Parts: sequence; C-alpha cells; structure tokens
Amino acid sequence: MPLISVEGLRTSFFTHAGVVRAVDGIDLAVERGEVVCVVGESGSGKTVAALSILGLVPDPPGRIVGGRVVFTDRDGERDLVGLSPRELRKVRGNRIAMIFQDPMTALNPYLAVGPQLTEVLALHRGMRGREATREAARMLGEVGLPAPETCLRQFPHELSGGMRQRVMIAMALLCEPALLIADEPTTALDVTVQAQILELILALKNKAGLAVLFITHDLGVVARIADRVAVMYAGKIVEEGSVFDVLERPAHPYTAALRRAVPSVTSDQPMREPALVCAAAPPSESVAATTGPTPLVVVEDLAVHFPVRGGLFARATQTVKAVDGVSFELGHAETLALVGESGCGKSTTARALLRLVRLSRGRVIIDGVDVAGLSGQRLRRARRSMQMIFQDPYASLDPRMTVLELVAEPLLVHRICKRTRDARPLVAQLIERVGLAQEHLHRYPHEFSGGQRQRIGIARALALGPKLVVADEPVSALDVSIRAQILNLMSELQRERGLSYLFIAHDLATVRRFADRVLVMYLGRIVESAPTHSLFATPAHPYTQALLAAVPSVEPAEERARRRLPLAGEPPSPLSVPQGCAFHPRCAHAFDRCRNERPELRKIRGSVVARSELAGAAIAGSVRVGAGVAGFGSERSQHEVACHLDEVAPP
Amino acid sequence: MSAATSGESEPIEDAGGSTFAADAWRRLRKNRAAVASLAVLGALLLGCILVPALGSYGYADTDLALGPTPPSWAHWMGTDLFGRDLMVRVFFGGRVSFAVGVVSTAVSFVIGVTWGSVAGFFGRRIDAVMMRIVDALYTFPFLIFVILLSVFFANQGGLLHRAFVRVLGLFTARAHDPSYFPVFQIVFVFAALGAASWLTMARIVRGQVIALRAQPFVEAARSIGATEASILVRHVLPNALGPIIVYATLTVPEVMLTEAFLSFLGLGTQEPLASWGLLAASGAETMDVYPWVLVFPALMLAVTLFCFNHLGDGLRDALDPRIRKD
Repeated sequence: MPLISVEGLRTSFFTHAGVVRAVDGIDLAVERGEVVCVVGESGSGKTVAALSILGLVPDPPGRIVGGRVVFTDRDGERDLVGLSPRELRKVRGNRIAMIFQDPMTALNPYLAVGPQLTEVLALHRGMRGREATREAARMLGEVGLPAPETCLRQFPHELSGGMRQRVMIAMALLCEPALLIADEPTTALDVTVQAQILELILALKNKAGLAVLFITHDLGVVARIADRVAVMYAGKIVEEGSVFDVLERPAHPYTAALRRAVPSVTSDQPMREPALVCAAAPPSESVAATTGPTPLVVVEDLAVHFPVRGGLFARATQTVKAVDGVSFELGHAETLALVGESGCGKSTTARALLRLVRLSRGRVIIDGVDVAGLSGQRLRRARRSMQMIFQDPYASLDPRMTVLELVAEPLLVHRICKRTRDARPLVAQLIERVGLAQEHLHRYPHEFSGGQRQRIGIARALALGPKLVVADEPVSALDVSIRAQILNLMSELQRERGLSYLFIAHDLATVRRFADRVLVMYLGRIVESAPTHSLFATPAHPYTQALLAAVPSVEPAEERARRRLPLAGEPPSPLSVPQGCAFHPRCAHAFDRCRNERPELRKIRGSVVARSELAGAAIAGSVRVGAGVAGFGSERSQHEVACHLDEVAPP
Repeated sequence: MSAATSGESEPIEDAGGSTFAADAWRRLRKNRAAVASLAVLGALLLGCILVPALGSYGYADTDLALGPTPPSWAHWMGTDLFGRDLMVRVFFGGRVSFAVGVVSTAVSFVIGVTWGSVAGFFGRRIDAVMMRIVDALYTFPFLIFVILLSVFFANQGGLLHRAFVRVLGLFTARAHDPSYFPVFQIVFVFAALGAASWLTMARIVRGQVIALRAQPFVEAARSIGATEASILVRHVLPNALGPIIVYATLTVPEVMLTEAFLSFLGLGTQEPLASWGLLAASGAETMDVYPWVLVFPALMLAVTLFCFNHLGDGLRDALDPRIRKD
C-alpha cells in the first residue's frame, strides 16, 4: 500500500476566459522512504497538482473536479479530496508538510525563527515553553544549521537563502510528517547551496524513512535525488518510471526533448537536436575569434564600493567592496562568461561596465573609448556601442509600452528616428529577426510568454547596432526548452553581427555551451580565468572545482557515482571579507599562507593538488586535452588562477 | 526561427494597430459603471450650461411674495426662501462647483505631481529638502491661512484684489467694475484650494516614484541612453498613473466640500451667486421646514461625487494595459 496514491485527479480553474484544466487526470503514488520527482515546465500543472493534494488550490477560481487522493497512514486510509477543511488541517502540516520555492514569503518577517517554530509545536504536538524551545533547537541542528540557539533568536531577513530553506525544512519536519511535498525548494538557491539542501533531503529520507514528493524543472536535481520520476505536460503525466528508465531511455518525445535541451557540465556531447540545441561554435574554433589584434573591451582594476549608511545623519559607516580590482579583456565577437555564487559581484561588474553604477576606481575602455570618465552627452553617445539584455523579461520592459514603442525607444533617444512612426520599418525588421511577427508590434509585454519577451529585450538591445552586449542571466528566468532557443538566437546574432557578449550566469552547464572564455568571481575578485574547455576540463581553483562538483548531472548513473564535496557554508558577507585568500574559510586545502596573503591572478603553472581527484572521474578523462590547450594562443586564451596551491605544486 | 516561435506561441487576440489613447478608450468603454458615470457627468455639465441660460427665471430673480414653495410644475425643484427658482440656482451653482472642483484639482495635480515626482526620482538631498517643505506646510492650519488671506489681502481693494484687477485690466476695461469682485473671490478660492490640497498628492506621487525608480525597466531605459528627465516622464509617471488618478478623483469632492465650507463662512462664493456647497449650507438651516431646499443641491453634489469616483476607477483600469476586461 503506497503512502499516498493520487488517482485520476483533475483540478480546473474557472476563469471568465473559460475553464483551464490545470491538472487533467493524473495518477501518482509515493511509497514510504521514496523520493518521487514531478518534472515539467512552467504551466505544466505540477504545482497545482501538489496544491491539490493538500487542498490548497485557491477556490475560486480553482476546484478539484474529480479523482481521489488516498493517504494511508497509521490512522488508516483516507481520501483527502472529500475531507472537511477542519480534518484537512489536521493532516496538513501534521502528516503532510510542504516547503516552497521562496522561503522568505513563507516565513513571517516580523517574528523571530524561534517563536515560529514553537508555534507549530504548540499547535500540533502540544509542546510548550522550554520543552518546545529545546525541540526546535534540536530540529534546527538536525537540518544542519551551525548555531541553532542563535538562529532561534534571528529574524528571517537576517538569514541567507539557504539557511531560510533549512529553517523551512525544520519547520516542516517538526511534526514528524510521513510525506514532505517540496515545490522547487532549490530553484532560488546557488548551485553550491542547492547541493547542500539536496544532500539534506536525501539524508532525511534515508534516516527517517520520509517520503518526498519533489517538484522541479531541473533534470539534474531529478537525477540526483529521485527514485521515481513523473513527467508532466499540459496537465497530464506523459511518462512515469524509475529515474534510470526515464532519464536514460525516455520513451515519450517530450521527455526526450526536455532531456536533450539540458546542457551538461561534464560533456559537450549529448545535444544534437537541431530545434532545441544551441548552435554555438565549438570552443576549439572560437579561440581564433578571440585572438584579434585589439580587444573590444579592456577593464583595468575596476572597483565598485558601496557605502553602508547607518547611525545618526546616515553617515557612511562601512564599505561593501562589491567589486574590488577586476581586470579582464573581451575580444571582438567573443563570449566571455562571468560566473560565481550570488553576491560575488558579477552583476555589479557588468553594470559598472555599462556605467549603470558608479565606479570607485579603474578604467573601462570600450572600443577605444574610456567610458569610466564620460558623462552627459558623451556618455549617452558611448552607450550606442554597449547594450544590455536583462535577466527578468517581465520587469525590464515598461508594461505601458507596446513592442513598437519599446524597440523604437533607443532609436528615438539617440535621434536616429524622429517619431515612433518613422522607426517602424527598422523595428519591424528587428522584430522579425528575433523571431516575432509584425502583428506583434502593437501588443503589450504582458501579452507575451517569457521567451517572447526576452526576444523583445534582445531586439531592443540590438536596435542601436552595439558591439558589446552584456547579458545578465538572460535565460535563467526561462524554461529549459526556451533557454536553448534564446541561446541559439544569441549565437546566430553574434555570428551575423560580430557581437561580443559578456555573459553573466550561475548555470555552469549553459556557460559551457555558450562561452568562449570564463571568469570565475568570488567576493568581488576574479579567482580563475580560462578558456571554457580548459576551465571545465581542468578547473584549477578549489572554488571552481567545488562549483563544478555542485552541479548535478542529468545522467543518474553518473550523478550517483560521482564523489561529491559539497562546499560547506555560504560566501561570507562582503562587509567582512576574510584576510588573505577570501576563499580560505571554505577551502579544504587552506594552509597558513592562504590566511595571511592574498593570491594574485597568474598564469597556471602545474596541476593544483590532484585536480582529477577533486573534480571527479568524469572530468579526469579530459585533463590531458585541457592542459595541452592551456598554453596555446594569445594572452587572452591563457588559463590563470589566483591560488597559492598552484605555486607550491611542482611545475 | 519558425520552429522556435511555434514552440512558444500563444493565442493573442488583438484589434490590430492602435495608439495608447485609443486602447485606453476601448478599455474604458468596456467598463459600464465608468461609461454611465461619464454620461451622467456630461448631462449634468450640459444642464449647468443650458438651464441657467435657457430657463425662464434668472438665478437672482427673487419673488418675495411667492416665498418658499415645494416642487411644482412651474418650479420643478421648488423655490427658496426668497422665491428664487431652485432649479436655475442649482444648475447655476453647478457651474461654480464644477469649476472649483476641476480647476482646483488640476492646480493640485500639477503642483503635486511635479513636486512629488522630482523629489522621489532624484532622491537624496533634493528629496530631503523638498519633502521637509511639504512637512512644514502640513503643519500649517491651511483654512485659517486662507481666511486670513481673504480678510486682509483678498478683500475689496486688498493687495491680491488689486493685482487681479491689474491683470484682468489688460484684457477688459470692465475689470474695475465692482461687480467683478465676486468673480475674483471665486478665482481666489480655486487657487487657495488647489494650493491647499497638493501636499498629499505630492506624498503619494513620491512614494510611487520611489518604488518605480528601482524597477528594472528604468535601468533598461538608462542603459539605452535615455536622459533622466525622459525616464521620469516616459516610464515612471505613466506607471504611477493609477494611484494618482484615484487620488485626483477623490480630491474633486474634497475641494467641492471645502468650497462649501468657505462659502458658509462667507469667504468663497457670495450671494446672490450660488454653488452647491452654498445652496446646501443655506438649505440646511431650514431643512426641518423646507427640506427640498437642502435635498436638491445635496443630491446633485452626491451624484457628482459618486460619478467622479467611478470614473476614476474606470480610468485607472483603462490606463493600465495589463488589466483586460474581456
């Protein structure tokens, strides 16, 4: 008897535009001690399915119109669909707990963590006072929070994203539920923190026999933790089976397409599907493109410091060194990726390049012009050669402008066209180039899907014929299959127009496919700089190695065989950057010199520790290839690292 | 890219090419309450223009022998204490009330939106200084200020009156005619009320602008090289329009009521001129005996305020392309 068995569940939304069958007859079962993943893209109905199980679908407009949810517990068998709200509340939180994507919205920002946890205990287990506090602290320790007693007194905003998600899990586990429903619990987190949370969920499953219904869009996560997988598409489960069957031998074309659309960190191989595949030139060819005579962009010792105001009269009391002495070059028609955990300064670097934040120090030469010193009219003129594609295609387009007005705006601002009407032929051409139609010109952004909106953003960035395009996580808000389409488009445009991309991403698999060269940033500094293939084949910095090891692979067998070294903890606050090498508190290889002396970026000498051992067997195979290429070509194709380990290693 | 677009295309019904104004008008027409309000307001306005002009009685024609009479075929809304036809007076008063409401709101709208958006958008020092001025003005008992002004400067031959006469004298030789004094008083009321009610508008606009300033589309506009002023006018203000319009429609009834209060004190509209506020105030004195003298102007006031509120709601929705009423 499975713990929970969903039979023919149907949930519809009754809107004035018609009935939307969000969940259209699904069958799903979760056994005790099993992790079942529900995978699908946005709109596939996976979240609604989870909410339906708990009777949490907002009514109106939603309603469960059919099917059963049989929950077999120590009290016997119950159909959750027919339960009264009162009985349902007893199950919810008590026997079935749920965690959400954004833990900040699920925690009460006005209450410290402690009272929120003890409230749950009082409500469901009748524990009060010191006993409840002790139990809450025990549970926080259980989910891996380093100082449970301190944490009880902290408010949600004082915790990092990963810690908040741990608190949410602790809260969910307080009543010792039989089933945990997790709705994209790691989507908002960095890969390194995601790896930690996944380990925690796996440990809980193994130790307490917890059953987990895990909703995600990330096949890598699925490969890591799932026992069984259900693939949802348009409200139906199109494929279900063990994780090995579904991911290695997908039977349904949709699963296969989804599977192929996911790039891999460990290989360039398995993406051949023309419609869904990124057509970026293979790295070996694009090295030639980077060896042009003069680089398009030269950044020297760039720094962006923000004052933190506090106290009386809002004096600057402290300084956040968001970017602290970054230098790099970007060639014509080259794609340079900036990667790192959130808060590492990658977005700030990009925005400083475009002069969207104030520079504290340094030079930024774009196409021969030092833009760092420009202002007013001259800065506006310089902006024509540097444009940006934004992360959030929903918020970065003015909701009150039509596509025509949006794309024509740069042309009007720079007086290339006098009126919107004059810009129309140009705009129509751009819009068709990015894959939209002329009929779309008079529609508003909200009428488009995420991918289409990102196309509008790209058309807008291209309107002025820029040479440099900064793309700040351009696909991270999009579904996997749409990502490949947008990246394809960006590569095509790069080849057509000789664009240089500064590509900011936290998704290393995308970087591997898209970038020619990669800069790894940690706390405002570059710790490693290398051609893409060299970086992925032989990551030199321990931080890069940890980042790569944290990315789950879509191959379940490979994923499980891999030795993992999840990076402990999270990046320290940029307010108090550690002495010496900023990474040393989290580094397994740190020695005295790391604590006192900051390493400089220098050309790689030899193998850092046993790199193959750190990076895992899958990467080890290609070490020789990478090492061979590292010394090849111009300055810019060198592999550089800022780590003392590299110096002590034999050359 | 045909394969790519078909993968994510979604059905979008559309009326084809149209401007923002045409779109907004189309959306407004779908809102029945707003359309009805617009029609009622239009009818009232037309009545205010036509009834006093075409009616068989003058607004100041007294008939002391007749005195107060309830509504009849001769006088549809009855007559007041002096035997004046109430209907003519109500519609004549409507001219003054409408003018006060609309003009004062426009004054407060212009000052408030400019002040608030500049303070909110440019922030820091500018914001601090501008908003401290607003705070200081808030502490001012504005009605007393208006009363003092009108007693000392806006009286017949006072400083403000002389300035008004001088300005008007440029256009018409009749400006010195004492019968123009009531016109001056009403203009003074417009200006004073507008100047009194922009403070809250400025605060609301500032809050909206500060929230919108942080939106990515503002940074996106900056990245294409748009100037700060054009970002404020083209991106920030249009997106702040919803609350601004709602507050503006709430200001209209507020200034109408304040005008009534000032008139009641003898500072705004003076007999034999009329405004709804003045009519209601004098009707209130005798409402236990002659209720119709109160009921009709009060009813007009209520209907107008009701319509303005609904029109404001409709406008807010119509000006937001994200809200579709299909």
